[in-house]
Amino acid sequence: MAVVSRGFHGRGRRDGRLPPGQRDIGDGFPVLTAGPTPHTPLEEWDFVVQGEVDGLHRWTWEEFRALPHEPVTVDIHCVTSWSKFDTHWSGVSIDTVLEGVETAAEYVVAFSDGGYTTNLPLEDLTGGQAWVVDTYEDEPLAPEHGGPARLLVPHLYFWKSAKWVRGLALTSFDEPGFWETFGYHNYGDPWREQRYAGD
Amino acid sequence: MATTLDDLRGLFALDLTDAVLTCGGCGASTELRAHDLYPDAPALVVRCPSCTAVVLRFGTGGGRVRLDLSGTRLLTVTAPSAG
Ligand SMILES: [Zn+2]
Repeated sequence: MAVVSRGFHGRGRRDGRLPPGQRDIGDGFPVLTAGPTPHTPLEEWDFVVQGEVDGLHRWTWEEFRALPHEPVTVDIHCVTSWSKFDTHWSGVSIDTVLEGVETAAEYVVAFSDGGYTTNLPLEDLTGGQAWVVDTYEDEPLAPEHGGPARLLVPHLYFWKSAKWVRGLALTSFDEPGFWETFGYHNYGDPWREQRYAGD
Repeated sequence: MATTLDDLRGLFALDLTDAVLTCGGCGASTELRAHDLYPDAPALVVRCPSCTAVVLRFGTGGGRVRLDLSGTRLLTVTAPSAG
């Protein structure tokens, strides 16, 4: 695991990594939850790509674990104004998930156990920008942080990184998700401080 | 007499401690204070204790107050004069 310098070199480097209105939470990792934590048994878990695609694409937990994983080190930014630097994950790139999937869709709704949803442009999930991660800091992803698997889209506010994700629905129209229907920004770029609709 | 927006404003001056919400999902009627509250999310999320459906969301971020009652079929509050 990387040891991050807390010296003034690190401080200077970090300053440019903090989006407007955010603060560095350091070693903390707040658990923000809008509902009970699901505990889906792994033998019942699957991940699906559905919607406007050429048939259903589905992976069981074992099949998902067998997909090529890659390590990811990124900064994450929560809309409640904390940011966390150099978080280490491992997961499957959405590029891998969508390999061989034929679609004309431009939008995605990620959906989760417990009913949570969030919407994103498809182009924000591809090109090495997003993953389905099952490992955090070299440990299986804990349920309170979205385990067994969550979406990771670090260039957008963290509510877009759906916990307990179970699949992606590809659509030709944009369908606002759980927070997006409650006045939160449809896109959620932390660098443009897109917290609320109209920001 | 016609019902006006002024009457709606009056609703939010009422004491909600004995409010009863009827869930739009399962139809259960439950006191607001007996619901499952999730205050740590970006906004307050209130779930039906019978079926866990979201019945109410309330937020105050960004200089605006937001209330979503789309999961509530009916909100019942004692009128001040009825005390
Ligand atoms: Zn209910």
